[in-house]
Amino acid sequence: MSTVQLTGVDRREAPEVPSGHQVAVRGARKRYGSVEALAGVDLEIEAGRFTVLLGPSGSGKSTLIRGIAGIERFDSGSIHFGAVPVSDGRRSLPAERRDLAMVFQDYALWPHLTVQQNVAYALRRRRITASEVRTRVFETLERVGLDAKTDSYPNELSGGQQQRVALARALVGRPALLLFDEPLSNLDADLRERLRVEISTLARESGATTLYITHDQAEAFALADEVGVLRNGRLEQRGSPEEIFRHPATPFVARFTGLAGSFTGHSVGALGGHSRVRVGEHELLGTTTAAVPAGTAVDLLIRPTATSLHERSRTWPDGDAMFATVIDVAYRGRGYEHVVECAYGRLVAVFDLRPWTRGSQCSIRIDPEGCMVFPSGDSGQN
Amino acid sequence: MQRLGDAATRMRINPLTFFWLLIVAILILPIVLFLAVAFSPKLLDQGPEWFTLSAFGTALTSHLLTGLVNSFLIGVSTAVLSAVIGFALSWIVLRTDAPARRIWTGVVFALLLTPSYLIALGWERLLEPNGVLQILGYDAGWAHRIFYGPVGIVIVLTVKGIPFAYLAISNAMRGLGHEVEDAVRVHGGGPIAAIRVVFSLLGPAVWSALAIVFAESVSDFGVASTLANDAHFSVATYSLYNAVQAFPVNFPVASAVSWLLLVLVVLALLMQGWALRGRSFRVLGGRTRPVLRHQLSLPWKVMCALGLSALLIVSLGIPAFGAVSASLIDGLGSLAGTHQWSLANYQRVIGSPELSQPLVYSAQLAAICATVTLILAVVCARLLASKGSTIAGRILDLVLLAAVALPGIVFAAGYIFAYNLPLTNALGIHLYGTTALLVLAYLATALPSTSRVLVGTMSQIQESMSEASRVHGSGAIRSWLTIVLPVIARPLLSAWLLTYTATLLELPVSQLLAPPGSQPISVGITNALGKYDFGGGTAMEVLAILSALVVVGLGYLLFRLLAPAGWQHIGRAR
Repeated sequence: MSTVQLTGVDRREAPEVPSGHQVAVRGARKRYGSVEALAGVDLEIEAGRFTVLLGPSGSGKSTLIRGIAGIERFDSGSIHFGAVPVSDGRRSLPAERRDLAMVFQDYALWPHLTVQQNVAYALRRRRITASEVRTRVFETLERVGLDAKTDSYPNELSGGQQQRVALARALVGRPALLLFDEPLSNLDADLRERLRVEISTLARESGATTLYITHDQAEAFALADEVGVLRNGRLEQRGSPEEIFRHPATPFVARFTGLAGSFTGHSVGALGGHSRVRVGEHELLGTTTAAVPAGTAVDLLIRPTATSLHERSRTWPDGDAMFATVIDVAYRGRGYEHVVECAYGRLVAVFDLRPWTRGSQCSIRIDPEGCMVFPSGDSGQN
Repeated sequence: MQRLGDAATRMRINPLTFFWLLIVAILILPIVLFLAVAFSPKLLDQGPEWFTLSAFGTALTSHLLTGLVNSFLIGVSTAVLSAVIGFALSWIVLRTDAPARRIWTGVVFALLLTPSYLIALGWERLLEPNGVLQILGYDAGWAHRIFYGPVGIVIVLTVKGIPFAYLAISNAMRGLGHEVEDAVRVHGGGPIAAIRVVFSLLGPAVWSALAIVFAESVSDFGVASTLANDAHFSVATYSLYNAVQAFPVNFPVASAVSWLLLVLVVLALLMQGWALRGRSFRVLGGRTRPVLRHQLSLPWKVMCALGLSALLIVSLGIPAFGAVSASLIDGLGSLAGTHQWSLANYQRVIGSPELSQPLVYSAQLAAICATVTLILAVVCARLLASKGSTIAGRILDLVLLAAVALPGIVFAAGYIFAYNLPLTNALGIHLYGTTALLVLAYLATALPSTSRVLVGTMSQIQESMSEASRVHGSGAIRSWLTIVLPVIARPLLSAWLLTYTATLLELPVSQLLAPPGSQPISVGITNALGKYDFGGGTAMEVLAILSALVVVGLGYLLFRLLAPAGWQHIGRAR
């Protein structure tokens, strides 16, 4: 173990346009009794980037963000902010000396302080005058649309307003690192969308490095410059939202980022850049990360965007189209999502602009670009 | 850096080690040693045998057995009466529009805080020969004959049991929405079937009420040492007191009586557990809605009003009237004095150091005890409320639960025994007969209940509030002072005042552990009454209660005047 000096991140006089921490986590491990929450995670975040960690509950994302915040200590592993060691497994810089701010899932507003006092609290560590504090608090509250509520107490606000106060409290100190611990999960859909946009713009404006955790893949894709997918305490894949969606590294990542369904079959070789998969009487194409030898049993994972509904053709079989029956239909505003049953299984979220009646016969086509081929065995279920 | 790290480790270990040592010294060791001596007198130098059951043989013969049987019968009668009245009271207060139902929350808490000996003494002053009623010209002989005996004891202990029964049952009833009854009716059950369902859902609460009141009654020392003693009615707690006070002291027998008392208490709690087996308290969903109150017809309203008034008169009215009127009669209890209405007793109490000193002494001890208890109780509550139960947390939980169930008199006897042992003296601990030991014993009796009161508050504090404070730049101590303390300030104040009041008027520990030359107020009152200075004794009693009320009032007033607006906002928000 190196004998690092944990000196703290001193930015009491924060610059007008802050530069974010570059964050490096190496070999982070943490156990709670017999449960391994983190099984050796390495994570690098470039300064000023917006990174989202995506994972189901129990994947270790909360433990990771709380360790970076300094609320919890890893059993082993290190954290550096730029060149500054923050934690080396044995010693750990306390949260208050890490120059960061955090938005909590349950808001964590202080009920005995007004909105203004809650936000001003985060400025105590900065060496600034009272009038400057007032100005900055008011400016920040104005940016989150709460300048009319400065003297209210948290319990007098709605859930969305409370989370805005938490956002203002995190932003006002212009920290080098902004952490978000599932900040939107307690809000209803409409509010969630609006606050997501605010978080996205305000966090980027602040210039801080941002780490955001969520279990909602849509939220992750919408916010992130870069997404990391966590599973059972391990980082399963990192990349841009597009990379993650188009080229999931594992069946788990594919499933967690949204599937219509999956078929089982076996590989019958390659065609162009695709893998050919025999599923029952059909031969389907899909993308693959590594070559799959012919004869291997495989799963074909199908994105909803790869599916389309069609009238049954009079001639059978019709290329890669499969006969299916509509089980259910749900109106989704811009169109309809269907659940359909075919000979190889059930597909959900099959989109069409017009509704198909329940029980009607149809055929479905599957676009090879939205199909991923993985050798069978790893179900990807968490 | 390394040194700093080591210092931090030491800081983490030291305070908790000290805390555990204190818990062992004041809660575990005295009781365990005292209870061990019933089986093994030789172990602690109290007799020749290493193992014997002879102390139990003595405890189960003659007057000791009578006392135990009496305690059991009194406990059962009191439990049943309190549960019935508590159920009726809960129903009237929560489910009907009976007049003046709102005052009952206050009445229940007043009853909870009033020691049983004060209630008994108020009744006695009215009914005794040459008592207040006789001086006023009423012949209360018949009432005296009825009250001085099991009937009176059951009345007073029922009055003390009602608040426990009410709190247990009303809490369950409050959560039980009307939809349970509606569901029965909608699915074809009649009104009787609906009531049956409600009763069986409230069953756990009724069993709790029975068990708690039974345990409280058999443990009671206040009535035992006043009314029961005056009526020559033997009960177990007073037998125990006599065994410890008699000369020569027979600790093995006292310990055996304590065991039998404990068996009664534990049996009650086991009965409750057995009755609840397989049934859950959690019949109450989060979605239950407030119930509609039954609109009572005029005759029913009148009956409810009469019933509640009668209860109020019996429980608080008569004891208060007895004490206040007796304190205003000159020379009550003796042949001297004018027997006229006057403030002479008060002048005497305030003027004579012998009578005023106990109140000052008790007030000082109560303030010290309340303050130390509060600090320790916060630590206990924090340990009990912390997420993920640790072994330490579970042990603490068990110790505190056992201590709540332990009768105060057993506690006091354990202290006398443990801190008077040759071994203790050999260890250089010379606490026996000092005010310090009295304070430690007060602390031990107050800590379990105060911790329980604060667990609710501590578990309501979201961890993330202090985490947010740390993340936004405050150190651990500043986070606690600026975030946690304001949030729990009002419950802390209430807990302090509760502990202060309970300690000020505490009887059994004071009676057994008061150091020579100093009298706590409860001992002062009973001593004055023992010397037939009824006027002086009751004047001390009234002054003690008034002083407690002043402290409570002052506490809340100061909080209101001095606490920042935000701190007070939390109280209002809850």
